[in-house]
Amino acid sequence: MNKRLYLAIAATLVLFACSKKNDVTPTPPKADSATGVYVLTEGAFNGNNAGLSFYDIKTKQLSLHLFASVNQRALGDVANDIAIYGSKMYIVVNNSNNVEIMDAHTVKSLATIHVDNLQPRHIAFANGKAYVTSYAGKLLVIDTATNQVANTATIRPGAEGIVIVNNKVYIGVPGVWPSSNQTILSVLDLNTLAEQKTLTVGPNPNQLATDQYDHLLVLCAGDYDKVPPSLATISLLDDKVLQNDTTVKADNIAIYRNRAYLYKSTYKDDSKQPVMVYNLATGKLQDGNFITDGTTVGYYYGISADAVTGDVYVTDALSYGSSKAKVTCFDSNGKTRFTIALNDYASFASKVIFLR
Amino acid sequence: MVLCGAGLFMAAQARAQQPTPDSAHQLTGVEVTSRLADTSLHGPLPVQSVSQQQLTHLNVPSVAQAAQHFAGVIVKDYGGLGGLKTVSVRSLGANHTGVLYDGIAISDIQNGQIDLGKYSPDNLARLSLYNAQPTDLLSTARAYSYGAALELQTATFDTAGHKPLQLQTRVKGGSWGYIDPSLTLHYKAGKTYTTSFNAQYRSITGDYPYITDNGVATLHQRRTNAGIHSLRLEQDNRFAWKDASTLQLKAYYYDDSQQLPGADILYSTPGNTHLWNRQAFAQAAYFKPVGDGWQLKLNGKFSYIHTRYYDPGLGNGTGLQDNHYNSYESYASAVLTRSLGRHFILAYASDGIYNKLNADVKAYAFPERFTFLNALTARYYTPRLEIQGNALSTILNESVQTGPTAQHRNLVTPTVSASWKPFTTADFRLRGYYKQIFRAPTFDELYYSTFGNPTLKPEYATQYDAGATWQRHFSRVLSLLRISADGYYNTVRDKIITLPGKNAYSFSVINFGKVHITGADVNAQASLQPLHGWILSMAANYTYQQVLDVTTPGAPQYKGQLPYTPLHSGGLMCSVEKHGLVISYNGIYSGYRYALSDNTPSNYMSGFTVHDVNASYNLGSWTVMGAVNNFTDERYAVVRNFPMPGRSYQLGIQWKY
Repeated sequence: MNKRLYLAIAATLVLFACSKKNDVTPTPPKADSATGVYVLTEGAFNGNNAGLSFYDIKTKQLSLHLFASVNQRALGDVANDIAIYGSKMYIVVNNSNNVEIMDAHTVKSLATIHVDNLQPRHIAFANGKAYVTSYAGKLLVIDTATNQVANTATIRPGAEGIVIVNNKVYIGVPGVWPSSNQTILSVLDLNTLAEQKTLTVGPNPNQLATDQYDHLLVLCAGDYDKVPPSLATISLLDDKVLQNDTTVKADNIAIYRNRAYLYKSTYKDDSKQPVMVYNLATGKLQDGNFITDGTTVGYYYGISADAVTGDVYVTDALSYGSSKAKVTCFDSNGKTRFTIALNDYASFASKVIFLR
Repeated sequence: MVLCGAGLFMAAQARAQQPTPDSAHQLTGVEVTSRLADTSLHGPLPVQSVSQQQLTHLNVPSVAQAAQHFAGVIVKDYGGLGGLKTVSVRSLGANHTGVLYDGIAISDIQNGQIDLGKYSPDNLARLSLYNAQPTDLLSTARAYSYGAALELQTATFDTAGHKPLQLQTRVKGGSWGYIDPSLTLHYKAGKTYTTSFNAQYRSITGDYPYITDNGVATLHQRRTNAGIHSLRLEQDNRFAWKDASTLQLKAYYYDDSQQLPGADILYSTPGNTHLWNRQAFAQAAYFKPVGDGWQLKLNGKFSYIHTRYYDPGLGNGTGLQDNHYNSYESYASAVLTRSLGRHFILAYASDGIYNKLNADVKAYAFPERFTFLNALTARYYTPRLEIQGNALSTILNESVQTGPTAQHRNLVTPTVSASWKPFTTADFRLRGYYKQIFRAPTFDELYYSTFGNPTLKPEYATQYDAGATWQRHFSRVLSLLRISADGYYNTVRDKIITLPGKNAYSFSVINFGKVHITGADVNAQASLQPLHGWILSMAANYTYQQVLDVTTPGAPQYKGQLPYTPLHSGGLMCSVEKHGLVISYNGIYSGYRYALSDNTPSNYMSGFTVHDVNASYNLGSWTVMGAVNNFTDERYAVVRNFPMPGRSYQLGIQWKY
């Protein structure tokens, strides 16, 4: 565990130390880049059909429905977030009000933390602790050594994305329906978990990410009415909102070095929707259409970038009524390297994470 | 019933104003009795009915469960007494099913799907399902505006009785805190006027046990938040004058408080959402023959529906919702028919509807809708051939107080139907129809908060049907055998669907779906008197429906069977009577289904059969009854993760004066 933790920290440091060139020179994939990818499938609301699958990059073996087959029980209803920290993997099962803790390699369940009625949403890690946001206005702090809840802090209700950096916790707070459409980015002190300040971004901030330029990027969904979606950029040096760019409308973000990959889903037919490339150094859209080999996506539902190889994994949920999904791995030139076809137990495939 | 030209019409009219007696068929010198509804198989459009007696034998708590015994019907049932129950006919969708209460439409402008779990068969003389539309030329224009119409006809003074006052009171009780008292009163005050009053209270906690399978674990749980209390009051005044003109004035009040049982979510306790409904309406229907060959019918209605939806959210006010909705409707209709000779009738119906919906939802649009419906119908009739055609014009005008409003619509939709008797002797008929109809988007779909979509177009349904009917009275033993079978092909385009968004609160409503429906409905009914004093009645129905999603070629669910639509389904009702003892068996069968249009193993839901049995014994003015519902304790769900109740028991007693 400790060794893995050091490795993870080291990898992060390597990332931050990356040279700040203007663009990526594609590096050939290293054999040890990732043994495989976990694909989280959110499942349909009230469907109890969230799922987890694993694709071994070397052997091209897909293990569908892995959590259920290993643990002889279902993952639950609406799995919203997944992350590996150390030797363990964490899945936030929103509507089952669970945080599932399992071995990152075997997927064997180690603990289930049940938080009735809190509606947990996203997870981030710092100093051996996991921090989970929730709709109910509670921040769960889980000790990753003991798999127990160490602390519960009160935060703003309707909390979504979370990033922990520089001893600060940044949380996007869209609010809970009917008090949604908030424009709040809440900043907490990591030690006290008390709110230090709030920053104003676009309405409904949900996804957060950091880049190598000390930026915090916040995707705002807009108010679904008059205010369009936007991408807010915040300086992590002084917590100033550098810009809130309404020309960048996106549902999801993946970052690799100086690039952010973004897409906007129509939620019905995305075959004409591109993956956009946003230059994080210049703060401008660089490429309106990343995919260069004619691959189309039916229903964008997730995007991830391999921090080592720069490969981009796009999750295609295929359609709003589908139990199948497709994950396409593109190289950094937007050409398909391989695809993973999940033929069942994959409603709303939403997240790809890397097992190293 | 002897049918001829306009006479049919008058006779039908006169009958419609009266209770439907058990059909008594005269065979040579022998009187036979049947408990089956007197359903005419002679019309060009399929009609299925259950009589008051059959409803008693069915012993179901709501009209939705009774409708399950009609071919072509799929009931979506979220379980228990209080769970939502909607009726879709021939897979057109619940929004295409009209509900007529004594001939006048009930509407739910807010969400368009009438919860038939809220309507009790307790006060009904008859429940009928008309595919396409009713065949009565005195129908309102609105009755033509649906893909299918379910008609609830209330009971009235039993003319077979001699006392001017008829009183009936009963109480039923059973498993999971079920208690259901009711009172019915009919009073005939003189030659022209009868008055009726009906009251029913129902209450259940609904905390039935159910089993959840989760991998190797089997969880024994109880349904929570599933209770309902409801009160229904109805008052009718009927006038019938010498010149055959009639007037019916009706007041209806319904009030309930219900918990909304949520999905059975793994690892999590269900929510505590609550719904209050209050519905009140007053309606009048006046019929008058005017001069030679003319008939006039006037209908009017005022209706008020109040709904309060309460979700306590996640505690400390987070996510708390407490919204009140008030919808109002004013409705007027006039129908005029004219007989031209012995074989031809023309009818013109003109309706106006005003709907308004107020809500204390943030940034609400406060929509109002004026609907003008005009229908011109012509019927050509001989004893062996009947052809009916009609054109319905619909004008929709909407206005809102804030935000964009839906477009004005002006549409004309046709219906043509025919029935032909090829042989002079056998009572065998061929029938067929073609109907084009649409449903307007509901106020929720158009304006709900920021997710409604005012640019929605109507959802179109086209129906083609061809069928045959045959009936025969054989002998005293097999007094009646009736068989009808119809094949149909329907298409639904611009289907209005709600797409999930990034979270449970962001969704969008669009015209996106396209569905092709190929199906067959078969009904068989028999009435037997094998031994002296025994009466046997049987009614069976079978439905085949292939309902394919043809929205997006290449999508995983392209040409997949629509969710919750079994290929095969059916039902059986049987009752045996002997000197005051009645034993009834009712069974419902549904084949396998999928929970999504993507027909994969993970969405597979196995079929189920539910068997109910009940018995009643009559001792003069007292009747006692007992029932065992779902006596095989079948574990099933109609909607995924909404478990249905297992075996339950019921006892009841009734007193009649």
